[in-house]
Amino acid sequence: MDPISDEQLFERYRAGEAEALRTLIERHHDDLLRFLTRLLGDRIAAEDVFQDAFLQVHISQDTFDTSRRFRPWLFTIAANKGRDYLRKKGRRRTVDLSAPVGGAGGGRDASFIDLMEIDVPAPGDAMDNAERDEEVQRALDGLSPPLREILLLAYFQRLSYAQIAEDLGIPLGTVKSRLHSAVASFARQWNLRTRSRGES
Amino acid sequence: MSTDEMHDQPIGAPSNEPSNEPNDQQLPGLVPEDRAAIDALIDSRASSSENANSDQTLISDPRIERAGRLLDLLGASAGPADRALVDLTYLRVMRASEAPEAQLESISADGLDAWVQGGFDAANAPASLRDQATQHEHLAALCTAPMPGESDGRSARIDRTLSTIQEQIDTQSESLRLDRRRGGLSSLRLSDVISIAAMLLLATAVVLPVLNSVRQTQQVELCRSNFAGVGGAFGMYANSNASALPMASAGLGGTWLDVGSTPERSNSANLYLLVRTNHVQLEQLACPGNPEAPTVRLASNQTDWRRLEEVSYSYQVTPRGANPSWGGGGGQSRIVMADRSPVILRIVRGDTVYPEANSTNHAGEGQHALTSDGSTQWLESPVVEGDNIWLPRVAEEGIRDARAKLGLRGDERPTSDRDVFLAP
Repeated sequence: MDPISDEQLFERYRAGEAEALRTLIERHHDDLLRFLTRLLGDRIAAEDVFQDAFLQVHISQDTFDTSRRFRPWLFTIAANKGRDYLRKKGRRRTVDLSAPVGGAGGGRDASFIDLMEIDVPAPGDAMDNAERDEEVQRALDGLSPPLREILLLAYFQRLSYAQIAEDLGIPLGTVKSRLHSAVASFARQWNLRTRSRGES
Repeated sequence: MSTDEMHDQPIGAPSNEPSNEPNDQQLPGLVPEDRAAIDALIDSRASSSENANSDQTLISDPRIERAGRLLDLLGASAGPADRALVDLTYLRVMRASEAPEAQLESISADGLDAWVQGGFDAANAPASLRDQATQHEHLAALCTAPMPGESDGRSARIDRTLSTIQEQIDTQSESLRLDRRRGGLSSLRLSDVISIAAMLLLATAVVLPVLNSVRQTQQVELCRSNFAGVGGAFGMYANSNASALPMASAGLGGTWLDVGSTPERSNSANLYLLVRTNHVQLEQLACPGNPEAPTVRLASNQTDWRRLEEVSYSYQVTPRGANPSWGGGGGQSRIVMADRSPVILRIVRGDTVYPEANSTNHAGEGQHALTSDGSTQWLESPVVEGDNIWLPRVAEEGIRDARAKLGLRGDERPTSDRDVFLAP
């Protein structure tokens, strides 16, 4: 038998079944916390925003359109909360001194990225998890907040371009170009770090 | 000032940077490890006079070594006082070294589109783009892969989240309860309700008559103003028509009861002629005390009000064969217009007629009357010098005769015990 859908669970919660919300939180806990940690670059902040996001889900429960999917709605709320957090904190992008300064593929000539020329480990490849986690976060931190947000929303929500455009209220062409740019920026940052690590 | 302290301040502030510097949000900062390394290096150089080998002891750390090389390039063999300048210069170098916004090569962009459109599954991408799509899948997996220690405290975190929501629900419920207690009518005592009701009644009893009186006075004044304007219009009409008063047709062919149904034979159509000839606006023939009076014409070819209730002012009925004129010379002035007759209205409605009643325009208090010399007077009775302005003489005499026949001598008795008759 198919497990009950997110949307059905949320409908039950709205009808007064409190336990349905626990099930929803448990279902999305890992992905949402991971999304927020990547977005904010701070685990403690991510945990706070995680709570805020579900609190907002409760507060806005009447506005949810049951003909839509719950997960994208949840992630959009979380992204909004994350954006608010970054704005309040006045967080600014950090640069690692070990990142190449000019040259080594990081200068102005390296603006076009061919993904096949970048060393991207396949899932399960031998690499220290903690080290990789740190490198991924630093690469993400090198992106501007808007690019980081659209990249992570696309990766975690797994929505079509049209759905992202509808959720963010921007033209489909803009979604595509922004996501292309976000992926390119992330790939470049990742490449700079892995090359730098290889050289050292 | 350490680089940590500087990190919380606008970069331009310590060295009076020009105002066109990018703001704090745009300028990248250093990761904490590098900030610590630069602090250690600067502290080391500052104390180099005491310990010549301090730099050598730090250089084994590659991060500090890299920072040192960069500071040397900047010529920053800095003491503590120059740290702000060093850090600012370093950040400028970092900003200047930033590459322009990265773009995907077209083959990689196509691979990304194929991966997204294939439901984020590289296996669904066309063969020619599958390698690229797979590479995108691996890149995404870097971000979405489980993170070390992410499950730590999972249950506690879920419980905390649910507790937070429960607190919100409790706060909302409490707020609603307080609202009911504070503001709900049901919480009032009966004596409170009675007191409030009594105050409202008292206020109504005192205030309403005052308001009505004020409104009534205003309506009388506005109506009087109408009469003055219409008097002027009669004068102008007369000047253009050999002193004649407005007549829509050669004579009144119908009855003065008719309004609107046969416009060319209606007496009110005669008065309406002032509107048709633009001597007055319809609004000036609308008494404020008549709520049904129209103030604008519904059509340019309209010749009369549509029904009696819309008429505000009664106009003289022309004697047969006469040609009444405007003017009051030689003591010939007479009433030509007044607030609407209450008699005609009651006749039309089939109600009992009271010949001496005042116009209903002003709550039965009296009526304005316009005389042919252009003056307006306020009449507290419709009987002027023995003439009832609501009735033709024949009706007045009939009523007088009937009353005379009805006269009682004082010796009359009821016809039977079912004939009720009360007397002083």
